[in-house]
Amino acid sequence: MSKNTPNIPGLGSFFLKNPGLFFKGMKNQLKQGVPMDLISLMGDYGKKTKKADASPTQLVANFTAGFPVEFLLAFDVWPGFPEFSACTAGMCEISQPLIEEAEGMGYSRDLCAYMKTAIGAREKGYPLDLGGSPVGDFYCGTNGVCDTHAKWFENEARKYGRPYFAMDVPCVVSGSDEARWKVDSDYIVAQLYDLIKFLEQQTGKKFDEAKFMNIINKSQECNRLYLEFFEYRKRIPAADYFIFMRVFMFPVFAQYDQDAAIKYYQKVLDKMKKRYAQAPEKIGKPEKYRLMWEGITLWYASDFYKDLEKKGAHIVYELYTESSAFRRKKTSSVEETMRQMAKEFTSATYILEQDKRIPFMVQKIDEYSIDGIILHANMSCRPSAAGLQDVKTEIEKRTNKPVLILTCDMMDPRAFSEAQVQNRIDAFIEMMEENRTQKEKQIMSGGTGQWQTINR
Amino acid sequence: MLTIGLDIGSITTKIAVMNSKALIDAKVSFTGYNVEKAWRNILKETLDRLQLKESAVDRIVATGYGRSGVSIANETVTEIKCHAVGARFYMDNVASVIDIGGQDSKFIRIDKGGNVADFVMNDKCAAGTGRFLEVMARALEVDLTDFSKLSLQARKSSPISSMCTVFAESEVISLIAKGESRENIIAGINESIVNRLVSMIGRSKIEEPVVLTGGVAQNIGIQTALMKKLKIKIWVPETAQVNGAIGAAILARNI
Repeated sequence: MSKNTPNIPGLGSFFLKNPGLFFKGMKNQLKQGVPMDLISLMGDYGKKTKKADASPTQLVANFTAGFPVEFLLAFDVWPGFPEFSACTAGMCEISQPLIEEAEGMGYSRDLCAYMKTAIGAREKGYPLDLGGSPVGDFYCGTNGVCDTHAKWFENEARKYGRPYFAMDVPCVVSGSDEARWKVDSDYIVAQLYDLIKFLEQQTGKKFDEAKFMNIINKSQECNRLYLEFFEYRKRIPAADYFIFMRVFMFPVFAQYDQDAAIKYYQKVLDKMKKRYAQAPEKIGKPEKYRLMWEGITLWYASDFYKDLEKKGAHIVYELYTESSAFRRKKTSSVEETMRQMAKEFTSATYILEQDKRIPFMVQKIDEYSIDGIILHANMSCRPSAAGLQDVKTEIEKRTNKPVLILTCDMMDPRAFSEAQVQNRIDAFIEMMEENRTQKEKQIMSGGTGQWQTINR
Repeated sequence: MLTIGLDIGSITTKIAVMNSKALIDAKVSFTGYNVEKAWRNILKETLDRLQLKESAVDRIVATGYGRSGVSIANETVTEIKCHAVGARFYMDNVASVIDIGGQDSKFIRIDKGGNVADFVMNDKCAAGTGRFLEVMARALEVDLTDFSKLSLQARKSSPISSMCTVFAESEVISLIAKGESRENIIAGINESIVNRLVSMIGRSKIEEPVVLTGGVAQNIGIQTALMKKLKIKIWVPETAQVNGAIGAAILARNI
């Protein structure tokens, strides 16, 4: 396939035209406090994506979150991930003008802000480090995580005249039984075989089962290490918090360099194990309140998370970051892997149906010693915002912990009103404090014996 | 013991002065541009009126959106907690508080121990708050006191469907142009506020007794429409507007 679209702009040429914006983006990126080795891993992805985009022979396929990227790797196709670039623009706190650019093109305010950021960045010629993304040689989308993303890629493929493979993941509704699951699984596996045919057509290569299984094995190892880190977040104090985890999840999500990702996660884990063994008192920060977060992060609001931490409130568990680990179970054949993938696509933490989501959250509240739960009602993300009121009511009933619904947006700072958010957070903290005081009173008066630890 | 609660709202600043048992004085003024000037002025005026020196005050708690700007406060507390505590001052067994302030409205559920069990607030929009009423009163050229009473003379309510204060104002102007009576329009405005409130309250669980607080609580049209829609009795303390400041003054006793 020949490549005939303009290459993604470089950071240097962008800097010459927009020095102010460049410095603003870099400054905000740096204040995230992301460790250098992780920045380097992300920077490497950026460099290699630019190189792949510029290469006349290297194929680039853009994929949506939830798509089985291992198939692309098995065909030596470079995985382009526009959502990641959009997140970068969010962290650089430059997403708003990009979103407004897309809205100026006719996209509604209610549509996914990842999509609008990426579209705006493409239109304005932003480099990859600030929200831009390459035009794919072909597109691979799924509605498994978000149906808007599937349409976004369909539109983009049409606009650039590129092939598009759409993988349809059935929506599992509460009360589905095993018979229904078997039908869904067969349907997904059939599509994965279609995907192999599609990739064979695009690349002119035959599917190499051994190579694919080697990639799957590495993917499973990467996921295992990533998830092991969560075990250390259950400790008090936790290994690390949301503001780190939202970037830490990137290597397991993109899988572009599995060896580097495995090496990185292993290194972080080894270091963590050593620290817990030698000097646990130096880990984490004083945790007055341990929080659970449900929903996508506020990419543009690192100060919000830092302010929470200043108040002693730390987010120690998020369904969102845990759900980025897909290949959780060892498999030994292509067919078995596909069956397992079908299971994962329909039961990812992020898209759990309410019947499973609520008990799952209750279990995590216990495992992570959670004091309060924040549910992000994400204005431009229907899949993550739906059903939150029911979650709130049930969690409060079952755990007696305060639950706060925070209405904001993952990428659009126009939906983040600092004074209002602050007020809600302060009141939420007061409620957690009140809960703590009640617990202490009960313990001091003989109480119910239900609570064992109070001095965190 | 002499304590003071200062509630710095988006539109008005409220002060409550209390001793260990009773409310001694309360006052409301406009917040305006300069928050510091607003609370310093109201504090000085109140203390002068009571012939007290600042040194006679044992403790001060600040609340409201401008609470962090009160440099002399011993502590700051959210208005959610202050309204819950303030409502209990009048009704020991209060279970629910509906507060309609200048730029936000809130519903607070109180547990049997008197603590905040849950709260919900309006999001990202001032429709359904005091500011909304102000804009509408201006469009109808009615002062807020008359605005409150006129809806009771309405023969029917003219529905206002817009979710946005600015668009709702356009709707009101359009109704005026069609010759709709002022009373009917005001009844429609009150109904639209109440519909928003009831929808917000639906996100939690209302239990009686219910206390209505905030500046808008004094609007008899809103009180009536709210009781009708919720089908429950609502209590409105005489000092509804300074309820948050009262709560802050009570909390100041125990810090």
